[in-house]
Amino acid sequence: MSDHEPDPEELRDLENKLRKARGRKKVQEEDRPPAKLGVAFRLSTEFVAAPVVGGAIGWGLDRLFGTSPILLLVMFCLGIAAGFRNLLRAAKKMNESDDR
Amino acid sequence: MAAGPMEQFEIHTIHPLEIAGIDVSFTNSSLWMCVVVLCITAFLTIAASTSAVVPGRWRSMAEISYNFIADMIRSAAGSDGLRFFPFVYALFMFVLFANLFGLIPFIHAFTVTSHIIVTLTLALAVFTMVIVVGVFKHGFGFLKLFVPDVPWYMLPLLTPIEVISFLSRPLSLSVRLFANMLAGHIMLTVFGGFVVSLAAAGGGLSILSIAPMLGIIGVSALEFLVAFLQAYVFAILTCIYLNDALHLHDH
Repeated sequence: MSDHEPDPEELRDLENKLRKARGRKKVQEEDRPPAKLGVAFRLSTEFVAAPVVGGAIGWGLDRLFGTSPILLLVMFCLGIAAGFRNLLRAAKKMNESDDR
Repeated sequence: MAAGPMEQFEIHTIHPLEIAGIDVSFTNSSLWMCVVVLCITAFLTIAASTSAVVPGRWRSMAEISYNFIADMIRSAAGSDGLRFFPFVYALFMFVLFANLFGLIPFIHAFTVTSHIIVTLTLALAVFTMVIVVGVFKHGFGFLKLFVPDVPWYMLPLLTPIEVISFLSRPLSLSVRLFANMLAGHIMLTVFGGFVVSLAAAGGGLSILSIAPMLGIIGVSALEFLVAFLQAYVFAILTCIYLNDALHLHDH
């Protein structure tokens, strides 16, 4: 491959070839990675992380105010709710991109 | 071979270094981070150095990676998300190369992303970026992210939930990547240990060592998928979070 000035004829040829190749590809495959495993793992971490964070915040606040274990429990429960919220939001996003 | 499955994750100091009482030694982890960054730089430099009309192999690979990320950002965060292309591209390439390099056998490759401190740092960078972008773009309006579209009497309950949900993002982002890499590498090593100990057992058991060997082949293939997939997931979640910061609730 040299740096010579591109020949318009040659370019048009290439353009046609590219177009053909692109058309073929579209029929062959959806260009989405096989993400089932990723989906499973994503949903589980999405769900688990929220109660952990909620619990941690509650624990920290408890230590701050000396109200152990009330805030820990409250924040943990809120965390579970947030986990479900994450889960639903992620699932909704996945549905949207499937429909597209 | 007495190596335990966890030994591959140990940090060794290569060059001791201390700045202001903080241990910042150059370790095998730092070494592999440097290798990763150098290889990405080399890859893109080689790719960009040819200016032929018909792109060569390197050039095509770089263009594929570019288009892949650009399309991802466009679909997940809209066209104005493209301003963050350098950020997302750098994250994606770093995670991808780090994951893949960890799979190279024989050279004692260290998987940078198998340590939660690394992935958490990356996730916190994303998190900080999202907050900065959100506050910069919307000012106090950014706090609307925590106010879901519900009747007012539900807000005292739902706002803390939204806050926790928001705060849990860096954790889920980092744990996912780290756990995947850690589990995969432990699995490979344990299967490898099976092969060795079965082969050493002699007789009929030696023949059985074929089974974990086949297992390793399968798991290795799976690990290549996981390496790519986790880099992809990390990048697309970054895009989704950026989208939240850019557009708040209006999708």
